Amino acid sequence: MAEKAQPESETRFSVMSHQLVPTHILLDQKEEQDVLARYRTTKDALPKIRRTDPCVQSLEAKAGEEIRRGRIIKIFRKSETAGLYFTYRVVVD
Amino acid sequence: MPSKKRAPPKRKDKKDRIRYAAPGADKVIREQTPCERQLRGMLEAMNERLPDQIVWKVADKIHDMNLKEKTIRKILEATVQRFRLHTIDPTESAGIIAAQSIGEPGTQMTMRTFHYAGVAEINVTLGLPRLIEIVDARRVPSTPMMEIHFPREVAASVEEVQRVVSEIELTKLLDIADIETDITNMQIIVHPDKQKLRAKNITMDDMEKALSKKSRVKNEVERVGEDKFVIKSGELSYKRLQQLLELTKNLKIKGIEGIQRAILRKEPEGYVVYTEGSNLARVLQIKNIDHSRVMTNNILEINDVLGIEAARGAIIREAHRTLSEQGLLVDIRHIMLVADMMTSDGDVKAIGRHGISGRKSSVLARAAFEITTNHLLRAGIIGEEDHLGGVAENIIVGQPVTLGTGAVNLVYWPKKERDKAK
Repeated sequence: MAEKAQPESETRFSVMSHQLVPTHILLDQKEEQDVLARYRTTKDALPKIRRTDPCVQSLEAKAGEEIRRGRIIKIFRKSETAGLYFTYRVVVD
Repeated sequence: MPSKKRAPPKRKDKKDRIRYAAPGADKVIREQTPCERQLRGMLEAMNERLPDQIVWKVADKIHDMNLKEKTIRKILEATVQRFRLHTIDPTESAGIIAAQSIGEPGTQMTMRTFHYAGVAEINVTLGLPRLIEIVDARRVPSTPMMEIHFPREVAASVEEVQRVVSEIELTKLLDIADIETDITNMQIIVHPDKQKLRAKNITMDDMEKALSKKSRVKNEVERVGEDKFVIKSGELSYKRLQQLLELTKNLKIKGIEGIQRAILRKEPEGYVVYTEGSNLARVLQIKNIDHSRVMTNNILEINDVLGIEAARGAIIREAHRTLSEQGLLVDIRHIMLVADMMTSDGDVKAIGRHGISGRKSSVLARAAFEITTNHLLRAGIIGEEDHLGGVAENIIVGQPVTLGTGAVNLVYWPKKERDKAK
């Protein structure tokens, strides 16, 4: 039932500005390595985010480049218990 | 860092606040007060870390007390100690605790909680049915609902808000006109109700456009006089005419698909629109509303339109609200864990056979849950392996589970051997 919003017609409203959507930041290669080293983990252990996710699409539009599978996205969440904290999601197809 | 702390200005004093934003982010998430900054600096010097929320709370309590740095250090030390006590131990079974902490209060909910929520006569599913709906990740909730807010300049004017309402609410031809069939001439005559038209803010021209635009009513639409439309069937068949009538009745004149009703309600901060039915993607395209605050209770729709992170937030919000509405105090951390589980794959998965429990890697764990034979049979056919990593598997084979002390292996490595290895 839910029709997907057409990206073209979404010029008036940016997904990122919605109250429910936390800030998403695309990490570069070096930052990715830092994150994986700090948490002593690998990419496949991180939570995932779809490439088709509206937020990834929005980041793609902002960065002007294609976000490939395996890139890490840093998410700045607001939490009722911890205040503000970072979390990470890895892009999957 | 100053040796003696000056009383920091009151929190309301905007000038002294420091912008505290995510690096690379467009929006400022929160502003930091000088007291908070001092606390953070001290924590760093102590080589300790605390969540922001705790730092805020401490800062809130002490910022106007004019304390010595030594005292603040003591407070921080005590805070860190208490915080450590409250963190969960490694290998603690957080999931089971969460399941029980939600499940036990859940048993106290009445099965038949299906009543009117205080919101302007809109019927909303509450209680257990709603909770089940959330964790089942249903595509459409049984009572979809939206909440639409307005920017401040619009919220005050009734006309403006009313216009938005008429734009949202799905108006069918039948709602605004009398429709009669003229069998002798094989045609349908539509008599629009002037009063209703005015209330819905629709002109006759709008109607004509809507009637003739609809490709499904291919037949000739003719405007007769000032207040009548005639739709000719063209074919000499009663069945056709009947079909045409049905089609005409349900013709969308105005509004958004899926939204049956929109109700205006005045709240302290201005007018708010509540709708029965939900269509987030389309509502977000409407002008003159506060797009950033549009809410729906359809979690899958949020996932489609706003992304997985927003869906996670919505699950937490909805589940927590449903529980607290029933007077059940479930710690939000348990709900967060559930929401994290449901969204960790990039799309919203249900808890249960078709979702998380059905996708466990262990055959025995899956067989222990539901449809036992199917799982075992399949595992036998394709030769699945089970590494006995989880709880259920280990109970089945009679081994200690990998939780708590069971998760730790002790290896004795005599000093002699160790030296030899070096």
